[in-house]
Amino acid sequence: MNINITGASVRGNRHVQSGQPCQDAYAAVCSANIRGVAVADGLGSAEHADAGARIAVDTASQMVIADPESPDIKPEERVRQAFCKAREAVITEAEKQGTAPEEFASTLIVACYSDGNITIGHIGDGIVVGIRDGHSRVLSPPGESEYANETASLMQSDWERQLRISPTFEIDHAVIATDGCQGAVAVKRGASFQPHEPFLLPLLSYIEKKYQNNQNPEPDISSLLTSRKMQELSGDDKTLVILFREQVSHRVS
Amino acid sequence: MDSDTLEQLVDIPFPQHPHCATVLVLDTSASMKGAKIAELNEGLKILADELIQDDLAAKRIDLAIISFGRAVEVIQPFTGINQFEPPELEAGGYTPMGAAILEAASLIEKRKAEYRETGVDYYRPWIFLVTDGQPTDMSRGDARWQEVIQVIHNGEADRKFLFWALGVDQANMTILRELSPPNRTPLQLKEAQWSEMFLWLSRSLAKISDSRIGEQISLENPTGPDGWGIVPL
Repeated sequence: MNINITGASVRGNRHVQSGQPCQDAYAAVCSANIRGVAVADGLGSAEHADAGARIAVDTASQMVIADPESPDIKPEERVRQAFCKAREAVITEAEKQGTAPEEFASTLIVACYSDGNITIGHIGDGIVVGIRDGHSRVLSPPGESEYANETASLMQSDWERQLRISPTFEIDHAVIATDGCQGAVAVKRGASFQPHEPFLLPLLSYIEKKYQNNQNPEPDISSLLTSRKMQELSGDDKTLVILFREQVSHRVS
Repeated sequence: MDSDTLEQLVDIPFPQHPHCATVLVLDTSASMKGAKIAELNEGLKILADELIQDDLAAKRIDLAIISFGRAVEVIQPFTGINQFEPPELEAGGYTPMGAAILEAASLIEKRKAEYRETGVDYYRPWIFLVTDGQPTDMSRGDARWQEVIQVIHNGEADRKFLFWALGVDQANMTILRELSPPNRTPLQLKEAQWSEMFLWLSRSLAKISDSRIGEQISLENPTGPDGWGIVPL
């Protein structure tokens, strides 16, 4: 069965209006048997948030698939190493530029996928939802912070305390979203988040059809993220990444 | 492939706006009689008019008003700006400022609990005190004074809320300075600048209610020579 990873990062209206770049970034890489996906949302307060997010995802995704033939490295360890190396890479870049590493601050979500199983590491907000046998569940919710304009970042000193590594889940598909579009992927009910299937399931159906027709769904995802409805949902930058396993049902059973 | 776009096929939930609870703690003691109470009432109308014109602020600011004069009274429980009817405050009585501040802190904690229960995200709340005098229900060093100081200073230190004190006319600024958190000097209203003060409050709340994750908010500083201040949120 083919595993496809697709997605898009787009600027939110606020950055379009202010002429600022997109501060979200994502990267997806694969080895023979491991997929590494990383998604980051640069913090608005950080001067080089866009560069920080990009360095973080490029480094983290590569670390997930490093030494693919080494069976001793557990997915949790791959994910943890991805965070360590991503942080180191950002600090190195900050030193090179003579800037404080906090100026490159971002959230970071890292997923390690292998043979139908996914393990997620997560600092800050954004969300990961998994779909298995037509049922969706939140695999990694946004980090807890009391106030709406606060989040944890990879560059804060207690980042290890902020890092949440999920158990390994068996999934067919997974959807990863940054803060700008997490409100479409899941809805908050009391203190918890519930997947929003009226968004997720048509999205997966659409992607399935695209792949069946040998078409790339990425432009459609990009159009969706820049659409009026999505921009009304949030003026923030938006990243949506879908890990899609072909020939597996995602419809509600 | 269907001709429907992805946007047409997926359901996007109604945006869930984070809320910003703001409590105005207003002195309505006898000394406020005359022009001052009239200006204060006019200021509340200006605040409502300004906030309602700001789309996001109108959706996100929840306003409550506590008056302290003849009694400490929650004149306006928390309400959205669209439902907010500026009250017509009357002056009279003493200045039970201490009890009013404690009531404001308690109101904020209850509101936060409601937000959490219903899954509403929220910003750090504001308490905005306006007085032209000094408290008559506490004296420096007594038990209530200690309690009020503790609530304000710990509330700020623990990031439970932001506390602003504004002195008008003959307000005892020394007392307001002691009550205020160490990092926030109380402001003194210049003569006949009520509307400017409420416009500032409106602009500040609008800015907070539009703030994003990780953003450092710069508010206009009405007193500083540079004209700007930074509030670490």
